[in-house]
Amino acid sequence: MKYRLIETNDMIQHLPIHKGDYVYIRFKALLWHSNCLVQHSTVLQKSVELLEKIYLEYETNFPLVVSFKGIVDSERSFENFFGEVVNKSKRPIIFIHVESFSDQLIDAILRLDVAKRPRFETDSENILKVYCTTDQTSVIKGLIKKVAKAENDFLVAAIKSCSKKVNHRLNSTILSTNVEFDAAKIISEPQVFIWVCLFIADRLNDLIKENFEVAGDNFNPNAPPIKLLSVSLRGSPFASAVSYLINKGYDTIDHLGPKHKLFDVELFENFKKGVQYIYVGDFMVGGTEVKIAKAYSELLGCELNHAVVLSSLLEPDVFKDIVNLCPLTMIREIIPDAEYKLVEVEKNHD
Amino acid sequence: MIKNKKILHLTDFHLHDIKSTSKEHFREDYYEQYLLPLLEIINKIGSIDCLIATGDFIDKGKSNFGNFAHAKKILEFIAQNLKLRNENIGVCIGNHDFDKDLDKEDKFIEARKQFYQFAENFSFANSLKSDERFAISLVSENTYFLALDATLRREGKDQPGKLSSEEINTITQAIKEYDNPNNLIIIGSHYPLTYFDSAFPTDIDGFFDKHFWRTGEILKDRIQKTIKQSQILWLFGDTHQGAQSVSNNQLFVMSGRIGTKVVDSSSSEFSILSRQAKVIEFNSNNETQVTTIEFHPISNKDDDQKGEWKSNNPEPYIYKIDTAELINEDIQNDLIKVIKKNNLYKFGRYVINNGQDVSLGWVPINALLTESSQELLPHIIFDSRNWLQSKLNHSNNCEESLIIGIDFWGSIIASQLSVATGMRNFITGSRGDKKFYSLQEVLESPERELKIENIKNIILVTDVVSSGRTLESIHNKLVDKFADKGLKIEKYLAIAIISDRKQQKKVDLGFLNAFGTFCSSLRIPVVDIDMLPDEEILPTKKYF
Repeated sequence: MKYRLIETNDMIQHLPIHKGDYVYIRFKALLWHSNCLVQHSTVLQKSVELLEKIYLEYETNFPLVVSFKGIVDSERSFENFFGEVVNKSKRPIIFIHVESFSDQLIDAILRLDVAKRPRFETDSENILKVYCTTDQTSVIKGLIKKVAKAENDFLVAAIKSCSKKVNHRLNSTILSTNVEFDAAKIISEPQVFIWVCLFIADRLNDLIKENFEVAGDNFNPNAPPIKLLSVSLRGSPFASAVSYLINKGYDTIDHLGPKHKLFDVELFENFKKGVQYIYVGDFMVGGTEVKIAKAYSELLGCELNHAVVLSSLLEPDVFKDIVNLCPLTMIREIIPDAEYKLVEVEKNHD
Repeated sequence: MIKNKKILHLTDFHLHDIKSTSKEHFREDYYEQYLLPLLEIINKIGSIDCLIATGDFIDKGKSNFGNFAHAKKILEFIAQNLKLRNENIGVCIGNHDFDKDLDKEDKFIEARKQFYQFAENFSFANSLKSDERFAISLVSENTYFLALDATLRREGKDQPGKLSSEEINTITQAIKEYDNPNNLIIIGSHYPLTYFDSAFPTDIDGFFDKHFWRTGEILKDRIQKTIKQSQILWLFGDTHQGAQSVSNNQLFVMSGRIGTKVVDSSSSEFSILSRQAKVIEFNSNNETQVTTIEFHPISNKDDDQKGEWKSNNPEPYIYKIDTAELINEDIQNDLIKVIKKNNLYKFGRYVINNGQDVSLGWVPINALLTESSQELLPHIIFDSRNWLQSKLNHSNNCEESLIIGIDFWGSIIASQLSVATGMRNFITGSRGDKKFYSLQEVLESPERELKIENIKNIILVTDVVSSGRTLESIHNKLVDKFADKGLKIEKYLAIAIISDRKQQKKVDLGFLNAFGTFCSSLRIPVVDIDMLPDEEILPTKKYF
């Protein structure tokens, strides 16, 4: 493949979350935007350049928190970032979820001339705090806890934003409702879509760690392949994007919901047997789509025992005999007055 | 796709009396003064890539052969002021440029000897292929000039010559070699070989016999059918009046005279037709515009001294697009490798578009992009972003563009392209009847909010474009939605994973300013449903 490097669009207004007294960004979002998840060394550096741009230009009066959650690659160089960029701006920056990346970041600082070297401290929670003056320590105190809450607030706001008051029957079930969700609204806004996909990726990573990986050994060559599966128009953009974020395979069935119409008639020819599917969907009310997806998976000689959705009406326990459901949020926690009831058959009065 | 080319077209100099005392604008001590304001206007339009002059450099043949030297001086003066070299000048012969007596005696080469010597000063000197009827030369980067001699074999009459079938074959085969998506092919003929509604009068005094190259029209049809990848520009002169038209995605430009002597309005030779030059401008968005610059005498009389050059507003010509441009050949090769390796191509009767058409081939995109090669999709997104930026002239304000993701794979690509570009997207189901989707999933639903204020560009993204009907249908719905709010889109672009470039689309995709694909060489024929045997003999494999 030949690569032509071009300037990416100015997304610095869209990628970070700015919450009052700090700015928060995930490095994975920068990677995603700048290189479209192409794994190639000539384009990876773009994400560090984007971080530099955010550090130097976006809401510079506030400290920047950068999460390395989900980053395993360690080819990027931060030497210029600490030596030139941080030294020039002197804006405090905190790296969280640095994990195996920590040594590389510290090495990049220590390789600098003493005059150019910013102050830094690490702690046991995979955190690297970089600042230039001691009085900045108070500024960054307590930010880490705030970040976790900010992520949750963002997710809730995103889901709330795609809800609408209605009074009609849902397409996928025999329930009528007073609230309807449209995940296309999340998909349509790049910033919202990026963050929501990152949250789904976190949940999937945890789920895979808990259910598929052998303790102490992340790789079992004999284990059946794990793939994500989506079965609806509005579930597929999430599943596809997340499959690249967590580096797992992905399949679609077009489509099982909310209205069932199977366009993929070659399904049985092209799907491989023995795959452990994880269903990825948008909103789950009665669970019809996931039940049909499970039935198809089994028909194809595969398994589907886990599901991750943006939001669920019912508690995971309700579905425990069908799938291990992992919703990011619960519908009633977001819309407390959401009502779902069985559609009543109108009687004919003679 | 050719990029940002500007061509200056001049014709009909008719150098006759060039002495200082004459009344021709091109006379020896006046031509620079006559041309400089014109060249100033042209330079303001932008950097010219080549100059094409389509004949009648001199007037009345051999009596004025000496004027070829002056014609050379004029062309070189123009070239110098436009920063062109002589090899950037392409010329073809007009009916005043040869010895008619020798021509009548069928001494064609001898009759044209002076013209050939003149032409040797320009691109003709480096002809890539030529015979007595034509010459092909490179006049600028990726720009080839096919000079036609429309005067050859005119049977002793004052009319265009006759082209034989052999000549048509030879020329078509010769130019085919340069058919490449990156090339512009300019075809110059003194006599027009296409009809211009706005310029041609009714057939008074045998006008068509004298001025219309009938056998050239057959050549035009052959070239139109043969050259599929290059942009083609046709240039003509002879009639002294300007006109242009678009047919089969090719632009035909006829320029008015630039020269001829000044005559009194009472003279029978007086002409009201203005002297003019045309600049034809191509850009990478498949948009072309023609700017005509006319010389206006200060009074109603034709004047050899007073007058000024004025530029008309550029006339835009938008081409109908029915062939998708290949975005990245490496990705195409990878896609075809995956299709072959995994036996993904299915052959059969796949009924599409609610039974209107049948696709004879089918490639499951899910298997192509996920099961077989997890790496292809990020590369497609990466290159789609680059392609979009080039089509939006790198001046993309992401707030002004909206990506429409059509069906599953269009929506998947659209959502990731949004992340890569910052543009918003809108996903929609389109396959089959809309009853297969919920109201929240289709574009036409009144329940769906489409934020279209400030949107100038629409990018349609889909997996396969076969008949083109889905793109057309989505476009029509968008036009209605925008019109409801009194808005209009400036540019429509489309990206498809696969679109067979040899399969003529069933609808006019002329609304697209650019259409890119990652796989154009895979044949997926689409036929009318009644071309196939009954269902009992060839059953339907899939129905959308």
